[in-house]
Amino acid sequence: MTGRRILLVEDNADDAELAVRAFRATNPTVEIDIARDGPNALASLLGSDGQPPPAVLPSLVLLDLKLPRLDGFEVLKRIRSDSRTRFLPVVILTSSIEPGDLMNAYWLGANSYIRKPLSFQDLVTAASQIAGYWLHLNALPSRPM
Amino acid sequence: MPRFLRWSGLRLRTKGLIVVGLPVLPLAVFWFVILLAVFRQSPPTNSPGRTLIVQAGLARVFSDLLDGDAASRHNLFTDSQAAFRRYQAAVERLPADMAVLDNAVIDPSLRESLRDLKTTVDDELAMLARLAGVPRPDGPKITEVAALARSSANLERIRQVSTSIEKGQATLTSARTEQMRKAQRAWFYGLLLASIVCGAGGVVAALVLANGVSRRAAALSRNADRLAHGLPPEPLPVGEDEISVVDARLREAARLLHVRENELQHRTKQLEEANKELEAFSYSVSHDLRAPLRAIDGFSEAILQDCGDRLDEGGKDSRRRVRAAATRMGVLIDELLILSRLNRIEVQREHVDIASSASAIVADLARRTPARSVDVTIEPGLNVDADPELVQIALHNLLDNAWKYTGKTAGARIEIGSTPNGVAKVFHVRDNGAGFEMAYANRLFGAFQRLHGDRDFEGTGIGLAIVQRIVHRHGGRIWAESAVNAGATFYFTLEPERAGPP
Repeated sequence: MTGRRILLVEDNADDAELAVRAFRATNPTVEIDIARDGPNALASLLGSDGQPPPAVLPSLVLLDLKLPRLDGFEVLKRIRSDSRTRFLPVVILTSSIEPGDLMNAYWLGANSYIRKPLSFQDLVTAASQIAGYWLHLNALPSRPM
Repeated sequence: MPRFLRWSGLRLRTKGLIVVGLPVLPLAVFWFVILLAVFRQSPPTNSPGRTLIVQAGLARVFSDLLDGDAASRHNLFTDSQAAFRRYQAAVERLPADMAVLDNAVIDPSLRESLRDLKTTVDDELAMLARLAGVPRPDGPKITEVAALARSSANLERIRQVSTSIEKGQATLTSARTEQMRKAQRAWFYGLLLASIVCGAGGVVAALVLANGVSRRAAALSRNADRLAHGLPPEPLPVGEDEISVVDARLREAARLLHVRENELQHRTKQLEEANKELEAFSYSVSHDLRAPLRAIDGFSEAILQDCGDRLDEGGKDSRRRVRAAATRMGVLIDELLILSRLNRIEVQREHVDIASSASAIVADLARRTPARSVDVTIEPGLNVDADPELVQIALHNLLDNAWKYTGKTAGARIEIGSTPNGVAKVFHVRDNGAGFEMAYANRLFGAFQRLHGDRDFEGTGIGLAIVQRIVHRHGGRIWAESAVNAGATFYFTLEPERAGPP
């Protein structure tokens, strides 16, 4: 179970740090990379001009919708349109409860949609559930047995 | 050409009058001529009635003279007084009978014969006077015998003249009858022809009018259709009657409607923009205002984790208060968002099982506050056709209130039920909690209006505003009854109250 990595795409430094704390509270071993905007997130997943694609993809992407430069929907769209990341689990973690945002996210291929809880305790609960499902229970074997 | 001289320039009223007048006027003229002819006709000289009078007159004159002749002869030979009186009576009757004849015969040629007759009658009277009335003891003289002969000749002559007059009169009558028959036939055919001509003229005029009116009315109707579909109107067939007036009004109305429509579109656009702004605002509130709250809550937790050992009780209490405030503000923001979204979302009615919704909400409340013991009664099978999500929110707020305001009541009771009132089903949520003063009832449903201090009962003051808006979105009504410390009852309907069965 070691080596599980999460890519957290979050522009708000406070939210990013709280998310890291919430995951660490229940999964101390999880590694969390943080991308501050859309292009950054795509670069760390697919590579870019000055950056080669990573050797190993993260196990899960936590994606905020409201992001500078490229918003979460656009990032999700590009993740789903690239063969390397087509089946990468993406969980939307946003403060929006607009029904339109939710529908759009699932339509574009999000695996789950979670509203950022107000209370830290709820965030910890959410983090443990996300990690439990997407990092452990539902994880596909990384190489043939 | 001036307008009143052109058929197309005439009003419908004028055209109608012309169509009716066209056959009626010539017929009236024709009748006038007939009546004039009838009244100006000279009195008839030869009617069948006149012929009878002439015949009778002639017969009576002749019989008078015969009587006179016979009586005078009798008197002459017998000197009988009775015969003489008969003679006198006959002679006395004669002038009246002659007068009748004189009146009856008018035709000039017959009057000639009548004069002849009169002369002979006068001569005969002279003869008879010579024969009668003179006593003759020695018998008639020779002159009297001659008078006898002349009287007989006179009578014969009178018979002949009478016969000729009678025949003449009869001829006149038959000629007159034939003439009348011809005249009748002429009048009949004349009248028939005139009627046909006038009638045909009327029919043609009526057809022209009806056709014109019909074509113009059809064009008017097409224009109305075109205007209704927003197409430009077509010109009417030429004419300046009342239909043109209606058409002009129609065009004007359509123009005004178009102006209004543009205004309306403009306003709708403004409204849509305002709505979009509101949505953007809501989104922004949802996203941006919650972010600092998360940080406040999260980092106050972080303080506890990172340096909890250095916090005393006062510090821990302050941290708790910071977190409680953040939570409350979060609830406030969420409720404001719900309130603003209620204006925009469509009410989608379906069958809602209120009883089971209410019991689920109550179960949730009981789970959150296990220390409370509330006696809840829910009318079984309570249901309504309404938007399930909105009804859920409304019920939640009402039950949450009831739960909250019975918090300091011993033996707390909450009752959910309905009363059919014939027009719309009235639902109620009743509690025996703190209640409120009815004087403030009208402030209950305003946003941020609270009748209790936070110290007694916590709340945002938005819950009932949300409930009221949900009820209003369903076309229903909400009101409350209460007294301080005697509980409160909230009544509401979820359908428009029509003035009778639909």
